[in-house]
Amino acid sequence: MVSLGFWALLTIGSTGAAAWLFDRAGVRFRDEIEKLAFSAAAGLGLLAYGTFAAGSAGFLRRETLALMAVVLFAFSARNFAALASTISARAGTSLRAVSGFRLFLLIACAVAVFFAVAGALAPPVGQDELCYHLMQPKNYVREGRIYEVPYSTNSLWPYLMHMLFTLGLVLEGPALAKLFHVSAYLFCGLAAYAFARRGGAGRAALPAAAAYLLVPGTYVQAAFAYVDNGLACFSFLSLYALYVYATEKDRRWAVVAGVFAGLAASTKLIGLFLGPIALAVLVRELLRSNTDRREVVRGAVAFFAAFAVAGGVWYARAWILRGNPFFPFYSQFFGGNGWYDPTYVDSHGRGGILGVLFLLWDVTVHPAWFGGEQVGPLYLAFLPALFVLRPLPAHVKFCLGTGAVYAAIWLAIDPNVRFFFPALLLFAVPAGHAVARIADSFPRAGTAVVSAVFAVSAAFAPYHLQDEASLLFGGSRSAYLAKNDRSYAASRALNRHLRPGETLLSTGEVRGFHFDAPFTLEGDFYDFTHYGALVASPRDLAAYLRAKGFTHVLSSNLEPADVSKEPPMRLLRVLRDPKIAVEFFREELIVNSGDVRYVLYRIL
Amino acid sequence: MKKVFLVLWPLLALAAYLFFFAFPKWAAYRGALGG
Repeated sequence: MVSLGFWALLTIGSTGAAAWLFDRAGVRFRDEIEKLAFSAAAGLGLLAYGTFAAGSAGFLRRETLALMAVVLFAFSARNFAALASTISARAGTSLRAVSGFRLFLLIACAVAVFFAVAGALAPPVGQDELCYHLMQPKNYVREGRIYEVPYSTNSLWPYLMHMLFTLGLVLEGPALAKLFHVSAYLFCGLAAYAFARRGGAGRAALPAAAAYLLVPGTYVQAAFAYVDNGLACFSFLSLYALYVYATEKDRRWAVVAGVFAGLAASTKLIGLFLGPIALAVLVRELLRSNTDRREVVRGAVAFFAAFAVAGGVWYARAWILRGNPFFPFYSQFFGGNGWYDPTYVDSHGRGGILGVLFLLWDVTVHPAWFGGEQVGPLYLAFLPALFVLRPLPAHVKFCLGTGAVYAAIWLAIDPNVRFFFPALLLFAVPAGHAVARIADSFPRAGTAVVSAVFAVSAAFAPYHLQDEASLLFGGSRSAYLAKNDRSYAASRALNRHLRPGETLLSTGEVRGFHFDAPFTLEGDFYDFTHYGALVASPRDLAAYLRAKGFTHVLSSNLEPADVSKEPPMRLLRVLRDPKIAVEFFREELIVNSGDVRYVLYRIL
Repeated sequence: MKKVFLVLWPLLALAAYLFFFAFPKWAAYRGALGG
């Protein structure tokens, strides 16, 4: 309940503050729903940058951030109330006239949102959130500042959403942190809704929002402290604003587009895709015969300047501290700086032209090829209808075009379904258009079929998140953690055993969030130091690790079985020789958790 | 013809999705995030 209270307070405050800023800047919105969509998402950016500034200055304390939240709320609640009252008055009128089909869509979206919120309120168990999405914010909170975490490949990544996770951890805990990702998910639906209305297709607005909100991958991920709904939200709003700029030539919209592109690039490196996509849109605008070319050039300058201002700080930070703005990627151009693994692509489609032609089928039916997240049946079912629904409205063609450019870059660089969420949000608008046309043209058969597709897609919410929902009705949180997170039992035992000031170097387990002691991955530590070449004996190794500040090593059978190719003085090998190990590494604790056997050694 | 396509295609897509993905891989995704 505390987390939900903070969530409401911060959302109202930040949305109101962003709405105030848009008013001051003179940005003219089509209606209050459009203003709400942009203000809510920009509000997340304000909160994140506020936390980043406070944390980088060393003021990452509960009192400081709580004061920031209260001031924001007091200052902005009136702006939010004005916005909300206009919208709710109109919503009251239109709800009375809503059709059975749209009521069904509303209920289906409400079900997905309920399960996403239930998941957010559950303890964190996701692989990446335990490895770094919540792990690094926990490090920042422990230190009371945002800093370069030693021997970490990822503490200097663009971390806009992680600033929100940090804010959540400082003010309340993991639940508030995870709720910010639910916010981003909700704002994606709101943005698709507003854009369909902007395109003049009010009847397609709810189906467009539902086409994104009812994707299993998006609502399941919303329940975890991941960042991809945030990436989708900021990327989409950037292109939305660019569309408005292209049609109205009001340069303020080019600045808004640049700011949201910057927020996308601040969320994930993949947000940089916005650069070439926006360039393609602007070049196309430049080539139109009836356009004011001088204005388009000025708009492009405004866009890229705002892009750099709103997103450049993370890249500048990594460049200054690691000599590579994209660290640890692209070391071939900037040098490895301790990290020489240039690849990140761990997912592949069928490749070549067939990969492009069958993309819709492949991501729907073979999600495992693309990282595992489910796209569900919505896009495969609805997008092909566009072939027979021509001529298409301009905003639908815009979404298809920009989505296709995104898909091409995505296929070439990193085809992982969750990195495709921005394109899914773009394609949600054409999908919504197709749904509205099918349902309106064939009220009985058409409505029944599209409802069935939405129902199947929504049905995965209770399937995937039933354990999380059961926690709201009295389920045991520790039983849930024991079932869903292998590291939980070990973390409980170690948190009781270790004293303040003691630190962990983990050779097998990568999930560090539930451990209270500072937690360093031996793999990263090795890549930064190459200590195997620096020490000649186990005695030297133990002394070296102690000198680096480690007091304990956490070993487990998650390590590779064959370590014979590792240097002789690498921990992985030294610990396997009991005669040597016993002299310098004393076994202190053994914990069995599921199939995993953890052994804690004290470095002597 | 248009009606047949607009109504039949989503139905076929849903059937294909259930047949090729949902039924055979019912539990696969759960492991992708939590496992």
